[in-house]
Parts: sequence; C-alpha cells; structure tokens
Amino acid sequence: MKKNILILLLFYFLFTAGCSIMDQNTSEADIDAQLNADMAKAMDIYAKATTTSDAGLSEEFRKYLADFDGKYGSSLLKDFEAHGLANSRIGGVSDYPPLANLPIDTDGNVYLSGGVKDAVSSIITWVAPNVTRAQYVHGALLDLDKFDPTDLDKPCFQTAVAEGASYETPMQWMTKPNVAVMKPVSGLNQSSLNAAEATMDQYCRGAISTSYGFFKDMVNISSVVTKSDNSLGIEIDSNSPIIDWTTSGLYSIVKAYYASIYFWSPSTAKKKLNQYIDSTRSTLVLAEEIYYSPNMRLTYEAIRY
Amino acid sequence: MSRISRRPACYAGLLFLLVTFHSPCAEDTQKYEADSLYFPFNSSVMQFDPSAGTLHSYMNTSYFFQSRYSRTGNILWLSARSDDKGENYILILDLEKRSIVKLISGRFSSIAISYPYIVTVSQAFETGKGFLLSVSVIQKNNRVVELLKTHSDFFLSDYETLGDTIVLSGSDSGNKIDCIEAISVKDKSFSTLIKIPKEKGTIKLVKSPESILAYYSTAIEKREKNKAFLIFPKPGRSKEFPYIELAPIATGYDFYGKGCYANGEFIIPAIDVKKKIHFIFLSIREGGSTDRVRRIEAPTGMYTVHDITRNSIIFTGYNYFDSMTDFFIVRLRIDSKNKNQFDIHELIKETQ
Repeated sequence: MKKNILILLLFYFLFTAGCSIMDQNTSEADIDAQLNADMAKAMDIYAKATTTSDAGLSEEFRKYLADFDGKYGSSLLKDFEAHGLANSRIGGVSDYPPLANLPIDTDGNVYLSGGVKDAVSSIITWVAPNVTRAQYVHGALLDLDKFDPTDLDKPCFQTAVAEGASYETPMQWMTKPNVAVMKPVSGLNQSSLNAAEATMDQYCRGAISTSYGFFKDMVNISSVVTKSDNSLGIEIDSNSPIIDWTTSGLYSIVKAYYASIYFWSPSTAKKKLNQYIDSTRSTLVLAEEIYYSPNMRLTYEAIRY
Repeated sequence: MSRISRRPACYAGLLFLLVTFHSPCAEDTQKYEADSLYFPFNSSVMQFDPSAGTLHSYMNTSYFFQSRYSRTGNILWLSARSDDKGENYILILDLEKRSIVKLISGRFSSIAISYPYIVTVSQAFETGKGFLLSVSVIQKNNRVVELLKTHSDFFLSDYETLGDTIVLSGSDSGNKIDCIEAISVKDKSFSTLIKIPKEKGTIKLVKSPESILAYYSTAIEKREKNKAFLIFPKPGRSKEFPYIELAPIATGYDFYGKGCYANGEFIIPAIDVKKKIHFIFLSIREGGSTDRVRRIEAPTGMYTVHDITRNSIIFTGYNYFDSMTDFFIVRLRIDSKNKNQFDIHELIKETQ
C-alpha cells in the first residue's frame, strides 16, 4: 500500500511539474506556438546582432537564455557563455579599411557578409549554424540602377534590418569584415529581377509583424527568402547537408523546449525536434546555404579576421 | 591651347604625385589653423593647408564619416556612422577645441547636411509608405527643430540649398521615376518640381547664386545627350520654381559626378569612352543656351568640393574606375587672366 502511495505521489509530482510548464490540455498547436513565441524573442535579438554591434544585445540575450532556462530547466546560458569564451578570440573592435576590389558591377548579384568583430559576435555564432570560415549571416542584393560610383554613401544594396526592409551603401559593404559576392550561374531574367527588386519589402512588413528566421523577414535578398518563393526564377538555396543544424543554438533551444514539454516521452521530444528542424531546413534560406548553392557562383571573397 | 596639353611631361609628373591617403596619422598632432581646410575622410578629419600645400591627419575618431559636410567658421557639421551601435549621427566638430559632440542620432539610410538644414532618410523602408524623410533646422543654441516630415518612396541622390529652399534629387525604389523635390523652409512644404521617367544614372545638383543646375550623372556610355535642367528657386515661394531644359551639352561625354560653380561657370566632371575624366566648363545664358563650353582632361574625378575661390578649387578627387579606394586632394587652379588656361596644379602627398 505504502509503495502504491509513493508511486502515486511520484506521478503527482511529475504531473504538477509538467503543468507548471504547460497545461496538460494544451494542444499540440499551442505547444508549437509557445515555442515560436519563445524563439521569436531569440531571433529578434539575433537579427539585431547581425546588423548592429550594440554590446547591450549580449546582455539582453543572456537574460533571454536565463529566463528560458528558468522556464524549461535547460542550461543554455551556460552553453552560450562557454561558447562566448571559446569565441572570444575573434572579438575586439577593429576598423577595416575599405575593400580595394569589391566588385559592384552586376545587377542582381548577391552579397553575403559575416565575421562580426564585436561583443555580439557570440550571439550570431551561437545561434546560427556556421559552416563557412567567414561565418556568413547577412545578405543583400545589388540594385545596380541605384549604384552611383561618384557617391559611395548612396544606398544601393537591397537588404533588411531588424526593423524591416532597408538599403545599405557601397561604403558600408566595403568596410564589412568578411564579404562574398555570389553571381547566379545562369543569367537572370531582367524582368524577374526588376519585379523582385520592386517587391523588396514583401517579407518585411514593418517591425511588428516580422516573424523569426535567419533570412525570412529579416534579411531580404531579392525576395528570395523561402525555398518556395523564388521570384528570381532560380533555386537559391542548397539545403546542403554541409549545414549542420545540430551544432546551432537554434537546435539547442528547440531541443531543450521539447525535452521539457515532452519530458515523459523522449521519443516524442525527439520526433518533434526533428520535425521542427526539418521544417526549418526546408523553409528558411541561410546565408551559408546561398554560399553553397549550386545555382550561385562565388566570384569574390574577402576574409579579414 | 591649355597649359596641360602643351606640357604633357609636367602633367605626367603631377599624376605621379597622386598619392592615396587612406592611412591617416596615428596621433593627432596638428594644431588648428584658421586658414586651413578641414574635411572628413573615413575615420579621420584631415587638415589641408592651401598655402603650404601640406596635408595632415587632424583627428582620428571611432566614427566613419560620410564625405559631404558643412562648415561654418571653426565648426564642421559632419554625418557619420558608428560601428558600436549601427547608428548614424550628425556631429559638431569644434576645430578650435578639437571636440566632437553628437547633435542627433538615429538609424538613417541617408543624411544631407547643409548648415543650418538637415535632411534625414530613415533606414527602414515601410511597405506602402517608403522612407521617412525629415527636415530639421539647427538653431543658434544647437537645438535641432524638426520642420516637417513625410513618408516617401524617395532615394536621395543629391541636395543643394539656395536661401531657405532645399532642393533634393532622387528616384523611387522601383527605378521608374526620377524627381527633383523642393522644400520651402518658410512654407514648411514639399513640392515636386520635376518628375520624369527614370533614366540611367542619378541626378546631380550644382548651385550658382541664382539657379541650380540639375543633370544626369552616368557612366554607362550613353553619350547621346546629357540631359540637364536649370532651376530658378524663388525664396519662400515653394510653388514657383520655374525651370528650363537645356539644349544638349558636351555631346560625346557623360556627365559623371557632382561638380561646382566657380567664376561664373559651372564645372561639371564628365567621363569618356576610355573612362578618362574631363571637366566641362559651362556658361549658361539666361534663356538656357550654353554660352561657352570648354573641356580639360582631369587626372581624377571631383568627389567632394572643399573650397572654391576666384583662383582655385580644392576637392577630394576620386575615380572609381581607376581605383576603388584611392582618393586624392586636388587643387584645380583657374587662371583668372585667361580663362582658357587651366592647370591641375597641386596634388599633395599625405604627411606620415
């Protein structure tokens, strides 16, 4: 009898522990929605980190991870800080002189940048899968019609920032630490390119409604942000197995979340994790996937750290 | 015949003296000299002494400056961005005190500053609205007062001020329209002056005492016709900006970059089929016909003009097609006794 009571008590504690995280009756959709909400906060900070170097973001991200750990019993903050220490060798502020030979000559060329050099580099390198040596995270499309070689402060690189769609200048790109220039292997249809450039804000509907993603809604290159939408008329991503998502912080967050929610069934947690990553892999386009795309050809690369 | 064409060896020698200055001095050792020119370059403020012909780094900063700026007395009004926060700034540099103070900060894709006016274009491009354009005035106590703001699908290409009129040139995001906008500070109003189908290139503006010359700057080997307009802003009357389209000028060359106005002539950089830079000198009659057109070959383009006097123009020189990162300090001497003779006279090596 005593033994039965102990077992009942154990179930009771496990049950209440589970309820403290998520109501037992919460639907699967609600569970996924909660993950998306939690992830959106991380991605918001991540997106800001890719386009600014505000050291305050590191503290914001630490707080996010601490809250996440408190909520789901994970130890992501510890992992992140260990990663930051390992990554600190690339830290430090430095001013790179403008790249002497960055080509700005072909309409529709895709530009990738990476190699952040500051305090927030640990966020970027922790969250995203980083495969290339240059750690590409940010992208832009050259709108050659806007390029003025007599004024390098005039915006002509169509891109996106945390707040939505935007443009950057040649001088900004010439002073980025690492840059790759990708040229479509087949010639771009000019009308498709013009249409893509004209709808540059398609995925950037203001700061409020942007959803998370490495590229989706945050970094817009010619409206090619998802695998299903390719207004350039070419498959821009590779979905390459080279991209190892399991080493990304995004993977760690999702893994910790489902492990907590489905604590009673590791196999369900694993299944949900795989579903999530498969979905992410098949819908979002990473800067590094563009780098490895068989439909894009690397024509220029500068790695400066 | 110009002195340049008579003295090719001398010209070659001058070209040899073209030296880049993208490595400013590590220490700020230069004292403020009222007669010197000061201008931003990358992360430094450079000092050029026109009489001695020497160039120094006056101040190194953590900002990355945009090339255009404004000067009043010993104050430089600078626009810059910072790597620390990804923000843009308008800064006040007191040359005498060697101090920099932030006037405004924000996230902007473009900034135009022509003391006492500031035009900013937001970094974010909002769907259906475009950029947020804001026009402000700097008051005597350095307080910035916003005069007006509006959303517009407008990419700023160039700007000039004439009295209390600010003229902006630009195009739309879809590359369909080129336009010239006039802002009357007195009326606090925008008005579209010229709106035409987009052509290759961007519209540059150069002001004279009475007018603004607007022309297409391009390097696409068009050379059929350099389209240009002469605009006559009327201070305080935003709805009345008569303009005329000029007859074709300097056929065979493409206007290329922002020029200036000196000694009663517009001086407009142009580029030829071999990507060589020339300066076209234009004198325009009241009716819009060109009175005189002359041309000299120049060793580099005109990127940012720093000083215009009766006898010379000092500017930062740059030709993207020669080298993407080589900038020069250039003095163009104008012989006032015989306006048919010009000489690119001094090109100064940076003092290390």
